[in-house]
Amino acid sequence: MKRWFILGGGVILTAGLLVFLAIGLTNDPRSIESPLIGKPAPPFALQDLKGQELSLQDLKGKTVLINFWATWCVPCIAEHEAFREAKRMLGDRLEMVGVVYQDDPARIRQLQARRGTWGRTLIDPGSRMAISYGVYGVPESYLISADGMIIDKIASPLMTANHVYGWLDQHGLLR
Amino acid sequence: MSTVGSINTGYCVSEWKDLLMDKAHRTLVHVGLLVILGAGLSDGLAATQVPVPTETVTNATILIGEAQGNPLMGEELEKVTYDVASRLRCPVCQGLSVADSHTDTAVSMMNEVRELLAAGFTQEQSLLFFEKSYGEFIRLEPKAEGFNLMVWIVPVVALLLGLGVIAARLRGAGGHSTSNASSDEAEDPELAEFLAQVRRDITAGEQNDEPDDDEDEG
Repeated sequence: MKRWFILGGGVILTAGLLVFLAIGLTNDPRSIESPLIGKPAPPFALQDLKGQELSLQDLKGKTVLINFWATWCVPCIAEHEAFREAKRMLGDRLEMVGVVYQDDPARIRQLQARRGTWGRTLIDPGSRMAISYGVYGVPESYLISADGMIIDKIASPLMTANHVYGWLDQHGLLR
Repeated sequence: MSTVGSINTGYCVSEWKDLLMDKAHRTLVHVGLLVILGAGLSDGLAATQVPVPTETVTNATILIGEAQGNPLMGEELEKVTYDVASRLRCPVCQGLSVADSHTDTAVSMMNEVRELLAAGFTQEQSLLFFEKSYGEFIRLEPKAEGFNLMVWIVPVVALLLGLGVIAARLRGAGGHSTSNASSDEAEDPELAEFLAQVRRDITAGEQNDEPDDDEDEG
């Protein structure tokens, strides 16, 4: 009787641990949920490559896609063409802003001279803006509504213009 | 008497020299006093002026509220900055703390921690500031609250359970063989008779082995 009691207790404990592990295995280890979703976008005021300042306040009233990227980031380069195409497709319906992450402005200018641009490119000294947005790496994109709220974040490259279009449509921003 | 042009100044040359030196001396003293006074005034003004908050401090006030501690400075500021940075995960490194990482992001985060502590934010507030942007994952140690308590409690409980099981098994091992023998004998009368004979033979053998004092004397 005592043996059955001990065996039963061990089975229950093991089953509990297995359930606990199974729940953990359903989580994507590469995705870390952003606590900023649904919250006001952190303010910023940075200079672009021409030395002109752009702030979050300047973008009020527009749907904004902020993309953190760098020339040393291969997926970011692949994303570049998708964003150019998305800009052509969406026009003024979406304001696209790139923020350079730990990179050299000269290299950015060289790349844009070769591949063109898709929006204003901001220089983020000391990655302060990236820190305030909780950027873990590049590329990361944030969708900000017209009233300045962060709607969503994607921590992977948007490889085609349709991905960008679909992302906006998913949140009802194209109606 | 000396003259300047045709004007009689009423002073001789040596007196002029003394006069000039005296004036220069007094001028130097006056200038020195002014410098000292100016330095004192500027220090006093600086002490009474409210320091302009940095952008980080402004953002922190919006995100987590007013600073709840005392502003730190000097060696204490550096020490506490390092302590807090050691508890923050470097976002771009694998498993390194902000204090141990040399990436630009980590250096910037450490500078922001320093600014917050110098502005009077507490250590916990400084950690919370980054948690608001990155989530709880930015902390190297999970907060001991809610579901996270499992991380702290389960290993201790499991260890105690294991020790309890080992102790119970060791305690039961001593009487285990005796009780088994008794039950086997009860089930098998022939075995019980045989074992009883064996015990009698062993006892008799032990008695025969005892030394006999009479034989030695003979």
